[in-house]
Amino acid sequence: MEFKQQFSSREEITTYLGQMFKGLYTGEPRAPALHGGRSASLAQLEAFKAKNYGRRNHTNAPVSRLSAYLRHGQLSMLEVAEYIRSHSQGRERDEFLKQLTWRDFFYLVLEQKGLKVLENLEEPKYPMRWVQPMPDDILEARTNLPCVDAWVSKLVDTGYLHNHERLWFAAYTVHFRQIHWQAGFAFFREHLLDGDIASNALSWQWVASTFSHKPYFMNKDNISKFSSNQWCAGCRAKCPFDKTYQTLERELFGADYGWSS
Amino acid sequence: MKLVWLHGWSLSNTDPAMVAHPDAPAIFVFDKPFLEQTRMAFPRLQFMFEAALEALAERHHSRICLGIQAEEIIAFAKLHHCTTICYSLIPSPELRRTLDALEQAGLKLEVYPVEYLTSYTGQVKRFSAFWREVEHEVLRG
Ligand SMILES: Cc1cc2nc3c(=O)[nH]c(=O)nc-3n(C[C@H](O)[C@H](O)[C@H](O)COP(=O)(O)OP(=O)(O)OC[C@H]3O[C@@H](n4cnc5c(N)ncnc54)[C@H](O)[C@@H]3O)c2cc1C
Repeated sequence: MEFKQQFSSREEITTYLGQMFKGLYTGEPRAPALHGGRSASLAQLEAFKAKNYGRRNHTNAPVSRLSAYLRHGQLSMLEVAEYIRSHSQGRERDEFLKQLTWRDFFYLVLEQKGLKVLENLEEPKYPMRWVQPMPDDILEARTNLPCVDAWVSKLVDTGYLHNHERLWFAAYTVHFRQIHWQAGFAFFREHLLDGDIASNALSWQWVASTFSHKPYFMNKDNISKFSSNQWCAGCRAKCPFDKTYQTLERELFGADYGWSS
Repeated sequence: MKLVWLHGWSLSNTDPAMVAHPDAPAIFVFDKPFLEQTRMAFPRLQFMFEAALEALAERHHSRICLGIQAEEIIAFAKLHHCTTICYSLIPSPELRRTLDALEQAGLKLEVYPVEYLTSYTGQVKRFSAFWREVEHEVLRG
């Protein structure tokens, strides 16, 4: 089925594709938060200043949002690296280049492991009882935890989450709710504009401990600190994260492994 | 005659296969079997479509379509009497099925290599060890 290629507006594209892809997508037809295309990707690259990238772990830090453009080849890795090398300096420049290298790393792993990246690459480092599928309260942003529900809504609405939010969400589902990372991978693939087999599957495995030597997990202090207290201020939920790392380690993984010391 | 195949990792007119063959017909296919098996929210489809539109806007002969990827490419190649398919290699196992079908149909493949940030070719397992190997090359360029 061939698509037409002339449109008078973005709305027209949305309506047209809604019909053409009928039955092949989830949710309602709506335009993506980012505009697809080479010119939009260049504008995004040129708008990015690595100056405050040192704060990249904070959810309100100025990260580049280049991932969807890199994923679909509208920007190449080499051109982004070259641009940053020539437009930025110092620690921020180096930190950005290091983060970009994670993507290269994941693609090299994909090249070497192929479809095995969709299965546990290593034994989990704790006795896990992961189940599938992703429960409805998570999918529908009704966990009653304001932070978790906000991550889900943001993911679904914008097709994007900050790296730290992805890590927290993954740790919440895999360790606090004991959902198999493969269900998280599929949920992210459904919604992320940058969703890709390498970075997505391998990051979930990194959190789960099947591609790292310990599971990634966080407590309330960590969420509060890196989100500028965005959700914790005034939160009345029964917070599963409000514990020391040592307590969480025992509760989540069944023993004192010394991962938090 | 050559045909450029754009896939989901190469949606730009700066794709190396596009740059190498500025006058060749070019095609992008949304793979229907993949979409039938995989839950995908609508915005991603539009994002890719917009990228494909811009990538192909200047091409004399181009097509964006929905169908079985290999079949669509073969049909478009026939239409334009193309016997070679040019594309950028990406280490995605998802492309393998299509490439096998193109070869079985007697088409030649002209491959443009993946662009990595580093020239590292060893086995990789942990990022920290990998970073120690490549840090100098990545930071220096
Ligand atoms: C559970 C989980 C799933 C993820 N799934 C994906 C995915 O499907 N696709 C994807 O591109 N990234 C994925 N990431 C990695 C990372 O979260 C995103 O690349 C990043 O948040 C994109 O935002 P940005 O472009 O503003 O990043 P910036 O911080 O501005 O970084 C610049 C670029 O470097 C690369 N990069 C930076 N950090 C990472 C990282 N940790 N891993 C891999 N690449 C990185 C990205 O291409 C990014 O666009 C995932 C992370 C987690 C924890």
